[in-house]
Amino acid sequence: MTNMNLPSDTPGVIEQYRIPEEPYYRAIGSEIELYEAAYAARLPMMLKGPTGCGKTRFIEYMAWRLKRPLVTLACNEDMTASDLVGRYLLDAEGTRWQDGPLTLAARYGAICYLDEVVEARQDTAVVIHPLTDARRCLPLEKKNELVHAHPDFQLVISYNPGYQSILKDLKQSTKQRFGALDFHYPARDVEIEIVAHEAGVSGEIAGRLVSIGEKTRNLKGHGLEEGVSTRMLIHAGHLIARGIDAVAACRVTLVRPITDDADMRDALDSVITAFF
Amino acid sequence: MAAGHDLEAYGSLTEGMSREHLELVRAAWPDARAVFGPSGLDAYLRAVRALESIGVTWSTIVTYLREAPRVAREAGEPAVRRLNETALSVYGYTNQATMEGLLTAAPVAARRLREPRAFAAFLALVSELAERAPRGLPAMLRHVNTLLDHLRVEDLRKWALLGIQAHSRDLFAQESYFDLKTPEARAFLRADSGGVQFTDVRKRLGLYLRALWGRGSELRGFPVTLQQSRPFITPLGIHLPDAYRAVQGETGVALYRAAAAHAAAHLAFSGPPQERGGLKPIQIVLVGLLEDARVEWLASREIPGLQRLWLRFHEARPTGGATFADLAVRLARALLDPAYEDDSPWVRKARKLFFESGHDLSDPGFVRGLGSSLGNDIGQMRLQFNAKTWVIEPMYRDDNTFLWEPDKNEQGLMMEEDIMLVQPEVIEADGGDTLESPDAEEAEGVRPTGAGDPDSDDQAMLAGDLLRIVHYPEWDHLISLMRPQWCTVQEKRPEPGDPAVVGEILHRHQDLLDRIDALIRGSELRKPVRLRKQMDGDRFDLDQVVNAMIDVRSHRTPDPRFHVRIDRRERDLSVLVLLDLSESTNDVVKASGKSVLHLAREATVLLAAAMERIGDQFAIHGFCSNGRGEVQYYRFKDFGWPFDDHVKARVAGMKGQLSTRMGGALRHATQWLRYRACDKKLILLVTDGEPHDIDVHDPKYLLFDAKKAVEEASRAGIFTYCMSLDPRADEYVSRIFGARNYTVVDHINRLPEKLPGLYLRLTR
Ligand SMILES: Nc1ncnc2c1ncn2[C@@H]1O[C@H](COP(=O)(O)OP(=O)(O)OP(=O)(O)O)[C@@H](O)[C@H]1O
Ligand SMILES: [Mg+2]
Repeated sequence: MTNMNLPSDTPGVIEQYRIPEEPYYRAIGSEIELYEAAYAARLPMMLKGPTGCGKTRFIEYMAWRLKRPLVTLACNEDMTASDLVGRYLLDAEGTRWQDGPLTLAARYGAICYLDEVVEARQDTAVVIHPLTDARRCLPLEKKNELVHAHPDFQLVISYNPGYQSILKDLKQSTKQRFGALDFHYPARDVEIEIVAHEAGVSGEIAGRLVSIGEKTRNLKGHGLEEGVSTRMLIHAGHLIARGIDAVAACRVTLVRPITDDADMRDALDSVITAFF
Repeated sequence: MAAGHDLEAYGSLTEGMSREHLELVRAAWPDARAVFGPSGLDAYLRAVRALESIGVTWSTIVTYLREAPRVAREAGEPAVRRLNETALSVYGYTNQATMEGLLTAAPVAARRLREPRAFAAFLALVSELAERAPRGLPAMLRHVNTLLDHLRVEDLRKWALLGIQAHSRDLFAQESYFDLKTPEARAFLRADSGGVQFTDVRKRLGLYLRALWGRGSELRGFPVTLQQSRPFITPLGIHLPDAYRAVQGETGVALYRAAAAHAAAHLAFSGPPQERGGLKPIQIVLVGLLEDARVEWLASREIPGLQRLWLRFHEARPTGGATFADLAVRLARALLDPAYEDDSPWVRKARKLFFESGHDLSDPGFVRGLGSSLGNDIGQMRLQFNAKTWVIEPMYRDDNTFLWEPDKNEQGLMMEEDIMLVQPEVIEADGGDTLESPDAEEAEGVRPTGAGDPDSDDQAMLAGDLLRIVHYPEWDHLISLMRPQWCTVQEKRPEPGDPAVVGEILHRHQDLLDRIDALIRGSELRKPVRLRKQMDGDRFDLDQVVNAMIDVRSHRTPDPRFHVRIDRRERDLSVLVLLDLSESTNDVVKASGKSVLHLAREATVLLAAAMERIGDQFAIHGFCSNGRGEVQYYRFKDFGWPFDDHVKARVAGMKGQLSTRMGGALRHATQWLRYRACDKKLILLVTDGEPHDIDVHDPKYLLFDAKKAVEEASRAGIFTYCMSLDPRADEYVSRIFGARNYTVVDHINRLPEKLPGLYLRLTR
């Protein structure tokens, strides 16, 4: 969502990170109140939960609700600290500093959402430390500047405990800086509502999709790293809404992406035909 | 009955028929006219005339008379006409025995294939094979049941052509292929279309059930027998047949899925086992049927696709027959399929009471009352029910035994089941010898949970030296039927003797052992083979070196595989030596002053020494019998056990007593070999006389049963060879084991030196 071509030193640049319309978010529990309280205390937050269960959607909704801009960054292994903080760029006049997304958010008071922060190397992750304790500041060593975080600034990270290897876990010293909200796949009725709304399918179809999703989640740890997510069910629903045969749609969106094992594929295919 | 149906009306065809044949026709006529129309009868008689004119013996004519109507019943009259033509053409290329083989196989094939077109294709294949593989054809016809178990006709043809192609030079090898004795012949069966083996689907079924029900279920395969052809549930888990072929247009995998899902539905919704109380067998069956419907209904409510899956196997039609069995399958369907209409008042009533009496289907209580009242109705309708021959339908459903507390009257039966279950994992208490699990690969992950320790169960149930009880069927040649559960094998713990006896035998025969050594070396049991084009090895492959040099000179990359390596061919053989330990083995052989048993023991010890030297896997078992209820079976040494003092003591302790019921012992030995994973399997039976037992007076009965047991073993890929010590044995031994599969040792005192040599020749 960062746009590197815009000059970053004008306050206006942050405006593009505002969320204009209310995102659809179906509350699962008391996560909205909890988050509001955490934001009021500017407590850095960690959203825990399996992939595709609504963490990103939740933070979008909260940013809209709190009327704060939202800067999102999906982390990956190749990312360096400069990708977060910023770097000098060359242009016609010579060199020019470009704020990274984290700096941008800290400077102008946005919520910064680092998605899958474990994916980033550990030395990268530590640059967030000064922002997450009482100092609330970000040293830009190359630029020789210390950015004091805007009072509205908040750091949020997402973290999927089930999925990555122990080698990739977050450091204790990182984890302890955050408050955490647990996300799960929503309860059946809620998930049906979400799938029906997002994919534009009937509640009946959504119900069958959710049944399939629930069944596949029984296989977590028995050959599947993770069951089918809400996101995938929505994908299936999208195809069905476009008139694709339900069984085929499910195979393409629910089964093939998560397994290459022939037996697992057969078992999941049979689960699909148990509902369609 | 129309005049056209009387034999007299076909005077022109019967005229001139030999008196003997005419009698045979007369005897077969009632059966024939029940299925043939006038023109069919005409063709039937013409065929008999044709057989007569080519001069076949009466046995073939009897076979034809008996089998042709069966074919007509299965596949229609035109099929019989085709059969007639094919039989004569087969005779032209082969011989009478092969033609008879075809006539015997035809109704089996017709029944399996169902469709006239498929049956015609089968006959076309037979004609083709008569010409192209005359030696293989009889074997294939013998195995037609097994083959069609696994293959469709098109695939059967592929299988046959593969055999012809693979062994076009070596007719003996071709014959073994068709006899299902070669690994590739069997491998093809496994990889067929539609049919599947349990081991191949086990993992996916496990995942399927876990996904649907959110919990793990133990799944185990079991070998299908006449008595146990349906799945069953025990505290050990869900037991499914070890193979399913495609049925009713559905694949074996679908059938497995249906069976697994049904059993899982029971586990989810059926309560604990109930007392049978005063329920009659038919009421037990009906309560089971209603319970099946109830759990399926509950499961389908949660997982609607299951109903569709199960319905694929419900074939009942409202116009189907009106025997109890027919009504039962119709009711089964009516309770699962809302769209199904049935006009039987009984079925309608049952359905109405099941769904509309205001009870809660999730409460297991009501089926008992409803089942017993429906059973009473059947009694009033005067419909027959035979609990002995009853098999639950559709075939995906389990036998429902787990719904009931074991019946005290059926203790024997339950016992067998329990023991069969424990069998793979039984560990003997003494000496710490461990049985190799017959299905080692399956044992993993399926250890009994909640059923207690299999060992202690076993001990609790069986007192003293009794280790295991297994019931086997027996063949009654008079009625041409297997008598189910007829013969009881009791495995007993052998009494140890003094191991020094065996040491002494080995010592005394040192000369012979040296000769055996030489023989082993000389017979090149592990023939060296030269492997060319190897990446590395002890010598250069000159041709390849030259090629490589040429490549180097012409600036191409040379092939680095220019070595030759010598390898030994590995023997992969399991031998079970089965000793007859009947009373007669105590007879003293004059020439040597020793008893037959004594000589047999010496021979066994020397044979064991030879097998050890070669490195073959072997077991030494023995048996005697005391009527059909007690075939005693002893395992002195098992596969994987070393031939150590413990085994030697057991061998030294063997005694001769009682009688010789060979069939049961052979069947039990077959079970021990069946699951061994090896290339070749052999039962080597050492006996001193023909089968006999105190409760059998027809001398042929046990003989034919033993023959049957040998055939069963061969079907399981096990070769049986008999070493007979009875000089008058030729006649019956060849009948049991086949003309080439036995030796009669005329000087019994030479048995010890002969047996190892024979073994070497046999397994070269
Ligand atoms: N509670 C919810 N309300 C509305 N939509 C939801 C909800 N939960 C999930 N969704 C839908 O599921 C989709 C996937 O959710 P989202 O992208 O937020 O997952 P995520 O947890 O952030 O996954 P990842 O960890 O892979 O980033 C969303 O696009 C949205 O359509
Ligand atoms: Mg059942």
